[in-house]
Amino acid sequence: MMTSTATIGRVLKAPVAVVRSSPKLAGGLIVLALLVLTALSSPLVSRAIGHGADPVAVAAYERWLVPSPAHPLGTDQLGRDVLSMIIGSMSTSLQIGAIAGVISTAIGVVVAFLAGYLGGWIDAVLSTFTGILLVIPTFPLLIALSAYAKEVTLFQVGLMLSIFSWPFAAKIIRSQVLSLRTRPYVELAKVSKAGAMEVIVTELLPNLAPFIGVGFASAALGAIFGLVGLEVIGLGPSGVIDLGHIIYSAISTGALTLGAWPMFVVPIALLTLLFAALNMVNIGLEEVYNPRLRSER
Amino acid sequence: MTSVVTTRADDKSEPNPTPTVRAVGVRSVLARHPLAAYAVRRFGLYLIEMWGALTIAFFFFRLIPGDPIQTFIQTLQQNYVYNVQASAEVIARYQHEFGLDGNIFVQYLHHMKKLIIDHDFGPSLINYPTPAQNVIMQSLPWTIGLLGISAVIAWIVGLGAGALAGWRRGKAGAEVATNLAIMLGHVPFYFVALILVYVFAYSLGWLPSRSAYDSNIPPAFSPQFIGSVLQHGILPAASIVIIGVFNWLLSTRMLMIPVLGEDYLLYAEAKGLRPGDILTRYALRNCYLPQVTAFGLSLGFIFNGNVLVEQLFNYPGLGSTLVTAIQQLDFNTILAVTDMAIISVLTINLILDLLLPFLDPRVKYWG
Amino acid sequence: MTDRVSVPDDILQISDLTVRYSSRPGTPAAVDGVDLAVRRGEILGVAGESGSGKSTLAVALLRLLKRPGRVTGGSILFRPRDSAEVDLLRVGDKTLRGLRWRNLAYLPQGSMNSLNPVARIRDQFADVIVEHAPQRRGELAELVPRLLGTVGLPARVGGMYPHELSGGMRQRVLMAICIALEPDLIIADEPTTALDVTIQRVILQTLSDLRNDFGVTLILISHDMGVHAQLADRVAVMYEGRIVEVGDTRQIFKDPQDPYTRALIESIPTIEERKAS
Repeated sequence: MMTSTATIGRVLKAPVAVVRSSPKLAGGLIVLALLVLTALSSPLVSRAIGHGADPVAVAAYERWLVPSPAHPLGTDQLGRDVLSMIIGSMSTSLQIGAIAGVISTAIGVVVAFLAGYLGGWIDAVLSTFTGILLVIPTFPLLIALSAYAKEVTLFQVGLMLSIFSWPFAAKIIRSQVLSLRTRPYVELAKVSKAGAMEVIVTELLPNLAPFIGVGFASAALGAIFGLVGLEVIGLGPSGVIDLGHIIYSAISTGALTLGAWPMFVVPIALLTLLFAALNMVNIGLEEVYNPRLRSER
Repeated sequence: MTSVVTTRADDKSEPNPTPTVRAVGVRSVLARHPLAAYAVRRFGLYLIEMWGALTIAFFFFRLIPGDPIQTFIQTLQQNYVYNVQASAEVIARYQHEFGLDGNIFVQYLHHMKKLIIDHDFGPSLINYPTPAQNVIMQSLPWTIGLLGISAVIAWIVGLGAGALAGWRRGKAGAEVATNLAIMLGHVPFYFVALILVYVFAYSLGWLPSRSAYDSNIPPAFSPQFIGSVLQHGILPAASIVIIGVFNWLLSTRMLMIPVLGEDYLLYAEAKGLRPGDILTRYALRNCYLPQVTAFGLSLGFIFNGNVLVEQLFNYPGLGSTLVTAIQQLDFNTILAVTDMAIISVLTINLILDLLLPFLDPRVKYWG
Repeated sequence: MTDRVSVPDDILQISDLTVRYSSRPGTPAAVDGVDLAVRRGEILGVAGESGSGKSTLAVALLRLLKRPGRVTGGSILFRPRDSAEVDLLRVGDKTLRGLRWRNLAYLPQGSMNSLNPVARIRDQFADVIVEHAPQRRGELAELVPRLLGTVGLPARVGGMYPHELSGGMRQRVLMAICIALEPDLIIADEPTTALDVTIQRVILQTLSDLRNDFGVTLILISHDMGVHAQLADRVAVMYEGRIVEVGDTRQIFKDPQDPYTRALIESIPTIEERKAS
């Protein structure tokens, strides 16, 4: 009889070992953690720069200041401190990515299970639908959706994006569901008296977990990609300020030509780091489950 | 979805056995049937996907709130200083012309009929009364050129780089390239474009940052014009190609590595063939097939990025047209561009999938 | 055990060859200090069970050994008919490539995946001819059917793909490719394993003809002592990486010295035994 703590221990042991075995995976997760920490430190940074006042209030400082110790990244056209803005909006970007990722993964898991387990025409319909969304250029559709959403909350943005990013997660998870379906332990579990929940947690989840992870990372990646794409042409949903918006305002206010490069270089660099980290997590997970792909040391 | 079926010749009892005539006959007859079945199935799937995608597109754009006709009337009023409150008749007439009468399902059927039979998207708003399909016909060649050439170059270069990276696995150059590709493979085209513009157009001034060609040169098949087109196309194309190469490198490398231990590579080496020949004719040829399918699948994604690149460079392709149409709520043009992109991508995928059996003789596609 | 004293006309002289798979001290070598002198024009059989090191020996001779296997000692002197003597272990890559196939050829097991799956059979002849004998390019159209005919395959096989052929046919194709450039030395690794007895006969007959008609030297690796009995002039028996006995075939079969050799010979099924049970 397995106690619940023993079960939890067993379930946790595998992921820890997995992370330790792949430098790429570990690296990606570390970068992600650093980004999250930086975003979380936003209130501290604001306080440090603003000395009590809000550094991103309009005209908090002089406009277009060059980088200096007081303003490490300068100020923008409205006198707002760029560093505070960027860190604050990074938090927004990360949250949107996470929300979109979670919702996409949830939808993806449901679709993948329905399609993978039930098979037949349900699978055919769902797979064709997923395939269509993956093949066609969805950017115009995303633009349409965004135009529909003018003043929205952060959560709604994430929801909106997940409409287009769930296929990434679904496709990855479905292929694994298909291969798991024929594995012996599923049959065994059906035969033995072990509770369905226990089977799912101890047998299916550990094997599906990495693919759900890859699905999540891919969906989050796709969502932020789409969002930034919308924002840089000024068609992003208004109401939330995130890194993409900063890039857009940098370009539209001519920061480029004024030489105020921090305002568009830093968000780009941060987003690139985010994408790279997510990608590393993906590749790291794939390497763990296909050891031949690891680089020789 | 596919399964491998191999046909073999028979050679049982005689000391000098030959494949029986029957075997060869069977092979050619079987070759005709499953291939045809596969082609029919794939084409059927194509039609279903096409219908599904066009339907999704139509309904999505109809979801946008705001009445385009009112907006249009207001624009007209501003332009022509109409003091008249647009009467119901005028509005009704414009609604009819833009296919907006009846409920949404009537509109849908009307739209599909006009699309499929008449190839007509209705009049555009940005260039009223020019039909939308004529508007996009002008931008289409530019996008085909930019996107098409960039995608193909990225694929070819990326495949070669990935083959080398897998072949020389463990060596410094291959590992550096691979890690670089992992780091930078997911940078959006747009970011690369921004950086390229900043470096090469603003700072160094070597390359132009807007338009498809120098407007001083008359369009013709002259060397100056073509040279100008090429010069203006370098930065936009580079934005797409660089990232594309990174991604194809990674995926090809992952396909190449499992092949490295195969017996036929050992035999090729025993034959004393050149390493380069072994890499291309033995290794790569045996693992590149998924990349053909992947190319088709990537086109949708490349189009997405291409819209932004064209916008940044003010390149007169479908992407710029799309953004302009959206800013003016020109539904017909928006739909025209979207549908054009959908049709192109799905058709190219179909062609590639039908090519597959000819590229790799091992697999007969039962479907 | 060391082989007969080597003479200058020997086509191959292996001295103290050692191959290891693991660098940990104490683990036995896959090939342990092997000495062999191969006479020009002879058929030398190398016998032993799996794990004896005979396949490793073959791959090492061809310098096709892959990591983690490494040659840790010894030399392999090769004397091709029309060029200088070289040590196969130390010669440069380009020179070695030049020697391959024209002087030193490999006949792998047919059940392996040795043929390029995406190329037609005739192209698999073409690439080696274009590489080593480009001047004979024009003859390809008649050369390929002729070679196929030598091994009893019809010309239409040239247009087929490897997956369309049976194991026996593939083995014969490999043999036809092997002889395409009339090499000095052929190293055949289990050429009859996993084949019908009747096909085996064809293969063995063809190999024997090769030596008789063209003077090709053949090193024949096989765990099947019956094959050596039919074909080999001399046999070297390997056990755990070492040669335990080597000498004239008939002599060895009549009077095996080493107990392992005796065990191998006794493992050949004979008609008399079946009658008894």
